[in-house]
Amino acid sequence: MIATTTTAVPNAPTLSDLRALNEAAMPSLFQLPPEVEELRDEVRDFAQTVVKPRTLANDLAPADEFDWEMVEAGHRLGLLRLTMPKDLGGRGMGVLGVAVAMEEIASVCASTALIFGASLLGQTSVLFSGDQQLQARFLPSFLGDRPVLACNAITEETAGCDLLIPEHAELAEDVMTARRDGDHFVLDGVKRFITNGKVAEWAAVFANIEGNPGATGLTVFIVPLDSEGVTRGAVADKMGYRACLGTTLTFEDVRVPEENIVFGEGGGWNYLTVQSNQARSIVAAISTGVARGAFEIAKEWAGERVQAGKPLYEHQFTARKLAEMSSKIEASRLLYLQAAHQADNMLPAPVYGPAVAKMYADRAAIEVAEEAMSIVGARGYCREHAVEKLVRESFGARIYEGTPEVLALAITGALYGRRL
Amino acid sequence: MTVQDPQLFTDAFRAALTDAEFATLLKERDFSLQFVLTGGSGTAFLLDSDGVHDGAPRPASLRLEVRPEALHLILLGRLGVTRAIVDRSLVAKGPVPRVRQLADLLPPLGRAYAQLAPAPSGA
Repeated sequence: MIATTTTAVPNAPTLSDLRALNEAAMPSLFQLPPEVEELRDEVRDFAQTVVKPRTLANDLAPADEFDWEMVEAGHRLGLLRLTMPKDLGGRGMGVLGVAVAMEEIASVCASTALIFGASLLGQTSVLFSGDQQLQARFLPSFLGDRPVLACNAITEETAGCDLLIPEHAELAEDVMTARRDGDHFVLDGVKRFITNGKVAEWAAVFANIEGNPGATGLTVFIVPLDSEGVTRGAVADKMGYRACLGTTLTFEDVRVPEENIVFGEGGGWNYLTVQSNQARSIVAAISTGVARGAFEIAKEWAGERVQAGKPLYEHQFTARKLAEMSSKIEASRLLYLQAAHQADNMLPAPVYGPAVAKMYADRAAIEVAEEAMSIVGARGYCREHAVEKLVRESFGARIYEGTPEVLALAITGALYGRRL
Repeated sequence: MTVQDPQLFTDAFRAALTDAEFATLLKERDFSLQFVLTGGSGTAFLLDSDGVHDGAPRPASLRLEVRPEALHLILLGRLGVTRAIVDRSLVAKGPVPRVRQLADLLPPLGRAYAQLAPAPSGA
């Protein structure tokens, strides 16, 4: 039997260090703006010093426990007001800044990234609308001392992908209804798997105006979740993404004033496609972070672990794996950076780039995490090991903000000129 | 003239530039707008503090690809920029913070346009 030993490789750079070294020698074609670099460094420190030490406990905790202390630390950094303009008290970041920040957090905990990401997504409709009255009512709470979260409520029991593909609008079944009653609308229906639904102050709720077939009258309503008739249901006991809570939200005769409509009656579909194209590059960044986190664990292990007299990374099969893993991470990052840059320089954001970035990065995260677990071996298959959690989390991003099947339709729609 | 006539827009924008305050605002913010009218002629013109220029003589800080009927409604204040973006009758290419600044620029353009625009049908 061959004896197994471990030995550390001194001063081995991380993938981020390596990129910084390369860029010092030859600047990248894609230079992050200084304020985004500064944000990335701040968030990297937050991820490593605040999120990472709590990750395992949050993952193993009961499904309905929520780490408000961690969210509060992120709030102090400004993560809950990242995209609010500076003149409103926010950090004034665009899609690029959010994406880069999310990669950093996801490299240690994708579900923590999603807590912040889902709240920012909920705010997007109010911010993007330019409606100053709505902004005055629903944004100041993100500027206080206490952390406040928002959420986006789209998915339903029988309507998931049917609420992401405009051509399916007429076919959607049992979609939440909004019935006009004077100057109010009355919302009835059930939303499922709503990230932050258990803990958010308000939600951007997508409901179909009564009388319109399927979801053809989809409309965005801003709904305070303490409204009479709103019930926050059980938290889904998920395979991964356990630090963020996905909840059922039930709406029974919930009265919402008409001024809480964003983008007008029936404006939900058009807004949803704009929002999705912005959000997909951010989710691609989360997947990139998951892959990077898993890779760094595998790389460290392959540098320490000695088999047959030499470290794993000197064995050709493992070397090949590590090289392919790092290549996939670099490709994922370039795709999401490009997509985010487009989203920050074109309104409405284009369909193609974000969909390609998300499809590639989501797949790469699964492949890289799986290989990382394979390199780490039995330890990586155990619940207390970080790579095991990252493997579970790697599958999550394939489901939210567009499955591979939905993305394929978006990509081919652009390729054939149906939807650009 | 009809709302489809590009000259209606260029005439209005030239008139708007006679407002010194508006011209100064454009200059101070180093703001230039390239309009590309879609859905027909594809006419392009550029507005900056120096005037209204045919085509695209230089890179603009914001390129607005917009249907003439949507631009007509935007200038008259009947269609918000955000709504036009969301329904894709307007595509804005350039930094998003520049798009937000349109809120300050559109009212003077709209006032000048309202002087020239055809009255709504039935009025």
